[in-house]
Amino acid sequence: MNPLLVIWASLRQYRFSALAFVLLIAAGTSLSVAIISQERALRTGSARAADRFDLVVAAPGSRTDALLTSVFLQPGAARLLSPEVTARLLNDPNASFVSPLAFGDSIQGAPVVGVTAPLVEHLSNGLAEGRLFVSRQEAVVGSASPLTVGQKFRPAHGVHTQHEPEDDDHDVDGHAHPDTHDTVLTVVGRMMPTGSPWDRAVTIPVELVWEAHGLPSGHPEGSTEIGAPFDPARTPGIPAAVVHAKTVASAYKLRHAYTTNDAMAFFPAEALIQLYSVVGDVRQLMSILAVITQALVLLAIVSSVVILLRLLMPQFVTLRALGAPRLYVFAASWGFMAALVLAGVAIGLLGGYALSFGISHWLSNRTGIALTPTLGETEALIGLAILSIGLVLALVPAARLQRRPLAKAIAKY
Amino acid sequence: MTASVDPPAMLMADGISASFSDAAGERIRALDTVSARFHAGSMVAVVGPSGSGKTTLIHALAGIVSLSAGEIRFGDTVISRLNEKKRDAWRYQNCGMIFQDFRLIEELDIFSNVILPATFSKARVPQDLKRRARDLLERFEVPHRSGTVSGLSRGQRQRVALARALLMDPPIVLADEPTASLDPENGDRIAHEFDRLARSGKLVICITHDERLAAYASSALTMHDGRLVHEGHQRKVSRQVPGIP
Repeated sequence: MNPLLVIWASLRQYRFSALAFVLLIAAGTSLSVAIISQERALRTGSARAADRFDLVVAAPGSRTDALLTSVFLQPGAARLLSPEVTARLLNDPNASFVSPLAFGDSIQGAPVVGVTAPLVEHLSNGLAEGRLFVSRQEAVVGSASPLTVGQKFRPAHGVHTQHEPEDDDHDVDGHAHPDTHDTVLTVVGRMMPTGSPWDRAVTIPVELVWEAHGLPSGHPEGSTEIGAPFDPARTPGIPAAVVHAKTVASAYKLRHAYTTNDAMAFFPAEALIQLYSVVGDVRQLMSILAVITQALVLLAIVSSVVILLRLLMPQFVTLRALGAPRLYVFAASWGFMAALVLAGVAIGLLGGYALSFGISHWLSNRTGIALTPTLGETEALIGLAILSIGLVLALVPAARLQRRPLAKAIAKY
Repeated sequence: MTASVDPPAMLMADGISASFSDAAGERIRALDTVSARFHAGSMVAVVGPSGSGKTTLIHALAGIVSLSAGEIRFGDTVISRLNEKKRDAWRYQNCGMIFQDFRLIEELDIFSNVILPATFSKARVPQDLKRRARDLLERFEVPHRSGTVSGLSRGQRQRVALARALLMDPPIVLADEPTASLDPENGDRIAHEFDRLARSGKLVICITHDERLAAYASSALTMHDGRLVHEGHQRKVSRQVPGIP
């Protein structure tokens, strides 16, 4: 027994209806798959981006805001830690290193962040090119920065400036954009990819940021020194600092020590979990929408099954009239529907992955967080569920065909 | 059909009745205690006005219609007592069906339409059946080309249906108006082929309004209001159709 000939003929005969049916199932499947795949990509991408930030200390307020500002470099109106707390924190002997984060400048729309060299080394885990900055006129760029090693530039005030980098001649002739700083920096190194917005950032010595904004540089006046130790008398307040503890135990001690009325210390994972719970609510809402979509798709499947099989009825009646075994007719009817459902789910899985990939690409471009969508077990289960339901629903008309007396069917069709 | 000195009948209807409900739900007696014997090597024409029960008789003999009374025998097998599944299997093995509207599968090509019955029982159609399908198409002068049957003329479609009916070499051929709306040349081809089938030992039963086809039959059954009102032998026409061996 081989009903493939008939199945193929049916698919050809109703190719446009069949195509519409396949696209309907594919659309429902891909939407569900994309939602879940994208949510997971966001979760793993953001966790990976925050992985190298052991402990964040910021002024009391929203952890999420502090996380978004420090790890994801999103502009925010964060309060500053007081100069006293800042000085104590930056010189804390219990930390392996503490790097202040100073924001507010940009180059070609990418953030210029004032930090200390150990943070750059830690985030990058070894540079891809060049060396760390050793003076206040040097910068290290993220892996995805358009600036090249050796290139000179002037950072601009604010985060909106799309000021083009200048070559050597223009840097020194004084024709700079009114928003740009006077200081000319030279790129001396490029970081390894981190999968975070830091890949597009430009890191410079924090002292330069402070000086450029008319603040004390953290060192005695006239000093050109960079990095720790900082002079408590000349250290301004900062929006946040990244602390790298020597041990896990000391990380918890530091967290405790800076969880006060004047400061807030937290592990990024804590804030991410909080963020995920909010995202989780959205995901739940999206999941409900996905379920409603799937229910509509299944309803459409049922309607399509009925319509298509009504169209195919004369063919099936002919088969029976010629003496085809009932199993043959059943297999031809079910196989026809199964082929459509299978194609719909397969295209849906691929489409869902493509959709998730597209969204990830768009989000990565916007946020700098490296997102890698994958098709996981959940998506496979969704595909399998739609496939199973479709295959079971396809049994209904196939079974109904069996029960219809041939004499009546042949008279009607 | 009956005969004075009766050799054993291949197929026998004994007092068969069948009824249906019409659209209004009223019972209509389509066959009313019809009895007839059909012998191998004969061609029987079933004639009568529209609605007289000719098609129901053919379908009953093929095991498509369930009877309300009487029985149909094929040798020792009482077909009418078999369930529908077994009747389907019996029909597949023993009957070549030619329907009035041909009932070809439109999206299949000519060759696939002919070998279709072979796929009911075989996962892979054997070479000898494929060869037989090609031979039949050549014999009936159907253009053996790819493409669907949709573009064929009525005469060509009828011959494809005939080739399909003969593929499994059934002992019985049941045909409903096989020459209806065919031109004289194609009608003669079909009539001549049926005559040849009967001469080769098969039982051919065909419903027809076509006198030319009926002229080839060895006997005729006349139906009226579901009853067999006349059955008679006739001297068969035996003529050679020009251009047909």
